[in-house]
Amino acid sequence: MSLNQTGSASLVALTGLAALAFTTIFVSLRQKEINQDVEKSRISNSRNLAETLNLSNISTFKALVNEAKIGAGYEPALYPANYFESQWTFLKNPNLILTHVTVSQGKVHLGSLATNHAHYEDFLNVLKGTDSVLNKLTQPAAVEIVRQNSRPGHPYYIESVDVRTGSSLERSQSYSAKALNATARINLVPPYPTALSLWVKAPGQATFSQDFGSTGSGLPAGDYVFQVRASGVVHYAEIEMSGQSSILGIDGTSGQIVHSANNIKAQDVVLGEIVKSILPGGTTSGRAAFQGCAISVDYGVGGGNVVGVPIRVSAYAVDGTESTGLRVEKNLFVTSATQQTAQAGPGARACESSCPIRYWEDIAQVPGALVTHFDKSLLGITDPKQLDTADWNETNNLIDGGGKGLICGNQELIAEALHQASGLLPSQYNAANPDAFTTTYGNNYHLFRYFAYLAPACERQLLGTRDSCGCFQENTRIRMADGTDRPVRLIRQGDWVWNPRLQKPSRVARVIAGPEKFPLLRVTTTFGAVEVTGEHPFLTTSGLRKAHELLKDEVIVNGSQAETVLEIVPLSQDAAEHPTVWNLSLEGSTLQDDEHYILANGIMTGDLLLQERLGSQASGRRDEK
Amino acid sequence: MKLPTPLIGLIVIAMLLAVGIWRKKSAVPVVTSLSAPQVMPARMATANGKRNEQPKQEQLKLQHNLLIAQKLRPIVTSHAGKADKLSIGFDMRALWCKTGDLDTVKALAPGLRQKAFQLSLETLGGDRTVQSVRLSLDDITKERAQEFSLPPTQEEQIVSVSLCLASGGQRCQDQEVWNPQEPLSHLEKSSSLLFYSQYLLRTQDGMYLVSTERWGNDSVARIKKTLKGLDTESLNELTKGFAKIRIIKPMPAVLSAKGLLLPLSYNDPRCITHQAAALNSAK
Repeated sequence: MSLNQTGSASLVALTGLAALAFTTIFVSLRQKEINQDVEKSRISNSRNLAETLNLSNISTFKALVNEAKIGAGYEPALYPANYFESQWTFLKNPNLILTHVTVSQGKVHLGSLATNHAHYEDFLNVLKGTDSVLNKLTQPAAVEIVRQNSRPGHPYYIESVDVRTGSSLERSQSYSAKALNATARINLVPPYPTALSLWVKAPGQATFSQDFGSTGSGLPAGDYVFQVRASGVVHYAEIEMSGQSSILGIDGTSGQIVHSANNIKAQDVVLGEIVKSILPGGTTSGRAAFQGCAISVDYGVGGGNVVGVPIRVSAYAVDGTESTGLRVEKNLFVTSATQQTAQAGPGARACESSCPIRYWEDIAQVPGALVTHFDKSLLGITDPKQLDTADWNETNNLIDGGGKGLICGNQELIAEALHQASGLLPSQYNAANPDAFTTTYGNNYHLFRYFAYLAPACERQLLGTRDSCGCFQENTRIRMADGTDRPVRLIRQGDWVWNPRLQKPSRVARVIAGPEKFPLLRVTTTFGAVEVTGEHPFLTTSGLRKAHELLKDEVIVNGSQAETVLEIVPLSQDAAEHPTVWNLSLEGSTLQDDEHYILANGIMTGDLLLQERLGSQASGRRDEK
Repeated sequence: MKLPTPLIGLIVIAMLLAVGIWRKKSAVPVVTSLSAPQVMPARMATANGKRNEQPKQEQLKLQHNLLIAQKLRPIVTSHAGKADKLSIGFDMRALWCKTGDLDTVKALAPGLRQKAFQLSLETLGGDRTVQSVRLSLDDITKERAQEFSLPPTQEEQIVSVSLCLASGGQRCQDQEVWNPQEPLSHLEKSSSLLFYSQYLLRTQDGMYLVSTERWGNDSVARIKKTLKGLDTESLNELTKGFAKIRIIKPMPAVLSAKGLLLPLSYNDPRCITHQAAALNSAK
């Protein structure tokens, strides 16, 4: 071998060795890289698994705090012990077994899978049916509310919560075991009140009851305590009585919620109480009674009369809505029997000086003063109270009966009628045609309204309006309990009439009559025709409707049958004619509409109570306080 | 100089190795949808933020309750960004033999589709802003709801909701009021008139209906006591506004699930027809 040959062989060997070395280095580095990628994949899988578990925990929590079908209704499995607190402590719904859920201050611990037990192989026995998935939930996972999000404008309604949870990442070569946190927003539905009730403690009683008296057995006058109770989550309640309302459950000075109807399981919680002095004959006012076309104010004094005081209670949820299905409407029936010997005592006429009243004498004894006040009333300059004229007869009756205060009549509506009739201001009308003015004034005197200013508050309260009475044309034939028909004008309190709704006799509690200035309507159905005022109630398949709201072909309920409205026609009526119309009020619960139906000319219609209720549901121009 | 062939091979191998060692790492995909960066909702707060917001939220709750205790009613609004969106609709109500606001609207309307009327939200006091929409008789009778977007406010405001006859850009609250006890025949078609009005109270957090049913002489004093930030000018204007309410006697607005409903009453046509017939027969 020559030197050249030897050199070439060495070079080849050297090259081979170098190639081998480089190959070894390459393979080694490549292996390390692959190992790193495998490690990254493991971390990534672990992270994905942790995130999946986080999502699972959040979903579980979401399912637990939102309503689901439980028993008869919908309830959440977990609910705040006090919804109104800024940091909720959860309670477990006792209707469910929640073994894998524990609660503590601000946190809920859920049974969760451990990241190293969340693989297919771990669930083979579950899939085979020899193990329970609950047994796999060995890793406690805390879910914490980090923020309550209230609806703008409704700070008590928590529209959603932001929650945080964390799952452990699997230990790996380069990562130590630690939690991977996740945050999510969970929308919530508002909790609502579930029951509402009104209780009363009559004078001399030690405990609350739901005895509100009845038309046949009134309760005594005096100081009454009314208590409102509710279940579920209630923001506040409102009680309305005699045109005045009070908010219960909120301290009007501090703004704090002062009741404990603050979680879905709260039962029959007292929201608040109010004390009202009920004077003889009903609440803080009397009530207009109608005798033919004459009005008298009935304070329930001296005759053992019983007067119903309407009370309405509403509950409001945290989102500001009223739970209309829970609304309570009752009458408190008060008798004067125990007050007949009561003495008014000092201060009986306290309201004479404290109320802004223009006395009848001040007006009537100054020539032209009345019409001047009429003018001012029409121009909106005068407070309607300035047309209240003291009625000394009624006031004396009130005081003689043991009451305190003042009874007034208001002529605002008469002034308006004078204006409508002439198109002039009353003073102009009087100056232009005094005779026509006097006649028109007399024709519209039925619009006179009574108000009471009763001590000690001396607040003005409407007693009744004379033009609100009446419903049937006077010859309307009412089906009596014995099967005969009798004109409505001949029916009196205590008579028995036929209730077509319940198919049984009902007793007449009250009869009213009065003039009607607007045209009557003739409602013709497949069963006959009846002439009524526009506000008279009929039961249709879509609820109670006033006569003037009825539509042709609308279906009226008649007992167990249905009749179709064929026509609703206003009757011609001379503008100066005010026929007397009549109506009845039947005995029975004010809450049971079915006890208040009459058969008139063969057509089923509501009684006075239903008419008044229907009328009170619509607010009109006359309803201002 | 010509390089020997093996040396060329060695250099090539070395270059290949160098490229293999220094090439870009991580061909294995590691990003999944679950590991994508988490984006917190805008209003989601940190623990520190939560601590700072708590007292403010508690204060809001107390103020909310005090306003309710004064018979103000919270209104449902929706939100577009930071602005409150308020929907205002109409509700036609038949009265039996009584004229109402819709009768006034009909008497004043120059035509069915001429947008002569103005539904406006006007702040009382302060910058006296006006947001208005022009409406025709057709828009009103079809009860088309109108949406108003109110920019966020840092101060308490009183806002009037008015329906009036006015030229564009004018304030309804500055117009003369129509006394509904006047016969409709006294209406002048060219007049600018205010015939319906209600009042709202806006706070930083919400909106309330000031009830025209429950207004009393002490109402201003009580509102002033609760909302100390409300300026005197606004309260004075509110007092003047309620003097107008006593004349125009609007039916109180009704809260609905979507916002506000303004009831507009009208005389049942059947009553009008037959009253006229009765008057003719009397002549």
